[in-house]
Amino acid sequence: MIRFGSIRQRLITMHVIAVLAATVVLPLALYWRIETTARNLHERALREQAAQIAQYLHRQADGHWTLVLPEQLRHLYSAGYERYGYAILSASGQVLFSNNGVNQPLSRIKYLDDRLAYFERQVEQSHLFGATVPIRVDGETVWVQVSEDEAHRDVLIDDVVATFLPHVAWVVVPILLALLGVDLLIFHRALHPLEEASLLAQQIGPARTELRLPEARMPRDIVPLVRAVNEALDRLEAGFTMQRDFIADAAHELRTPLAILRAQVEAIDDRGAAAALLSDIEGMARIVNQLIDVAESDTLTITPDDVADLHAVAVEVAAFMAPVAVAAGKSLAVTGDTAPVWVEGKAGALFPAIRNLVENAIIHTAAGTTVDIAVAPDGRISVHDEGPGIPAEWRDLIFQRFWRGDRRRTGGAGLGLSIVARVVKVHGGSVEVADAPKRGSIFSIKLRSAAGAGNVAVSPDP
Amino acid sequence: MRLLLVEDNERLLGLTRDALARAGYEADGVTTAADARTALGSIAYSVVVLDLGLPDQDGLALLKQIRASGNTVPILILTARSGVEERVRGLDAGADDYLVKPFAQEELQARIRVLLRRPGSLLGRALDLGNLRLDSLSREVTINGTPLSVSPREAAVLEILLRRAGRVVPKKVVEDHLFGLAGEFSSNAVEVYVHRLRKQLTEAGADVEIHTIRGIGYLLACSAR
Repeated sequence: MIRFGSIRQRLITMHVIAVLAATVVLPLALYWRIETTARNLHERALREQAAQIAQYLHRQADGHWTLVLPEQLRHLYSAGYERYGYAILSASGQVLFSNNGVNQPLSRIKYLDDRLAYFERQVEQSHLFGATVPIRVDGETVWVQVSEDEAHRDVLIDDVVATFLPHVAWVVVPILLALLGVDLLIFHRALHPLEEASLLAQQIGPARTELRLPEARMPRDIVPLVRAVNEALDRLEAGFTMQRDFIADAAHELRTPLAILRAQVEAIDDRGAAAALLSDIEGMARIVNQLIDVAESDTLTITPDDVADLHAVAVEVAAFMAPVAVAAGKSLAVTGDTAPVWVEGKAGALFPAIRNLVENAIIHTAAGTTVDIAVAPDGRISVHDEGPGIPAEWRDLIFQRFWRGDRRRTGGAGLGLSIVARVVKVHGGSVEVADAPKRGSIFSIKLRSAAGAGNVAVSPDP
Repeated sequence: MRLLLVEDNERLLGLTRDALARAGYEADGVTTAADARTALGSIAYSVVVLDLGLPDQDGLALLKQIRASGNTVPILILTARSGVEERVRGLDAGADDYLVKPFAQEELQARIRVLLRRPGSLLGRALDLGNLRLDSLSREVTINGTPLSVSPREAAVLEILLRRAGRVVPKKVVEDHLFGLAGEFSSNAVEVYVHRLRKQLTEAGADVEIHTIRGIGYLLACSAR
């Protein structure tokens, strides 16, 4: 069984096979039909000729037979013309008359009965086709044999049949090819709605669960499938929304108990023990934040109207994270141009993405060093740490959800960089990691510049 | 000076009230919107800390009611929701600040101190962080009770950092604060004041530190433990 890649491929292949078969069968069938017709005409002509000859045959009172052909017929059956022959046989098989002068039957008759028979004979250059016709004349049955030499120059019909095939074939093939071309167009038009629906279906994902396949221009036999798929998508969307909301709700619900825990720990007099517990609580709070970020980034959509000042977001993140950095004996800095850098995107979504990069950088940078956040006017933001760096073989893995390089050391859930990757992807941007010149890593996010947006939007106060 | 805490979780309410009491703030605690309305009707609070998730009414609706009644008391929203839209909605409804759970009590107190600075509110007279104390009326700065010799402008810089301790204070905010005072400033005046303050704090054995967050501003925090 041949496997086909696509419906179109399948249709075209099957169609080509059908056209090829038609190219062979159609001329043959026509040939067979025309030959049969010609033969029937031929046989009828022979029967009529036999009947015509029999009109001039008579039996005398003494039992002798007489045949007096009129001038016209005599000429037709003359030896000189060579086209037609006849012989009349009595009931006993004796040749009564013939035009070949040798008193031989045109075709040997094994036995005589009442049946009409046709014969074909090859005699030297001639190809004889004839009939033996039983006819009752004056109360006795005689057999009138009539033949025609089909090789004779005046015989037209067999030439027609003989030349039919090659000529007709050359007409049939282009017509069938033209038909194939037209059918390809028809296939294209018929499959177009399906292809459009397939392209649309590819866009359906966690971020765009609201998309449905169109029923409008779909062929009627495909509509039930489209409807079933759409209904399945409805149920999936409901389940997906429920799950996402559950994650977000659960994460939000965890915040109050964490706040209680934190307040209790802060009241502990043993500062050393309290500090260790607070660090654990901060780790838990971070995971809760990331779960909320994951749920929010899954529903994130960006329209061309969304513009954000990347520099303002960087300053906001730095201000948010600076106390954390300082508490860990590290520092933060925002360098580069201080003018607004307008990019396509949502500040509310870019904030958690950049916050996650900075959180990672603060965790990994060496004590006493500074995490540097640089914003470039072309819509690039880089976070530079002085940590151990990212091994080359990890660089494709680190952006996957729940991937962790060193589980013991960082204590994270492996969500941070997957949030970054997700947000950047929705923004149509790119994120990459490289080695810093001296030590550590540089994570860079490149976003699409929102040219001229600075005229309409107002920079938030850092 | 009295604060009102509106928080439906009684344990968090109690712990926060205790922490505020240790820091010298007297706070009343209520767990429902109805009780909050009653309390606000009878006492002029200096700051309200309002949790948005209340059992009997949406916190935002209560916030709008308070503002609609003409009450301008500084309100700090406390919430488990962190989205930007949530924050904007809260501030639009008339909140003065916004804090997401879980929060550090130190952070809550720092924000309350900033809100107390608003006109019409009572001023917190003494500002403390670690062994540093600044008297906001006399502008006297002491470390473990030993006075430092700081100029009025240096004291002004230290005060604004102290009121927002634990948070980054943009350099622009410090400059604007200083421009409110008489006199002329060079472009690096703030840096000079910070440099001098840092030197004096270190020499006097302070356990707080002024951190420079390059590109943004300054952060005053207890030295890393």
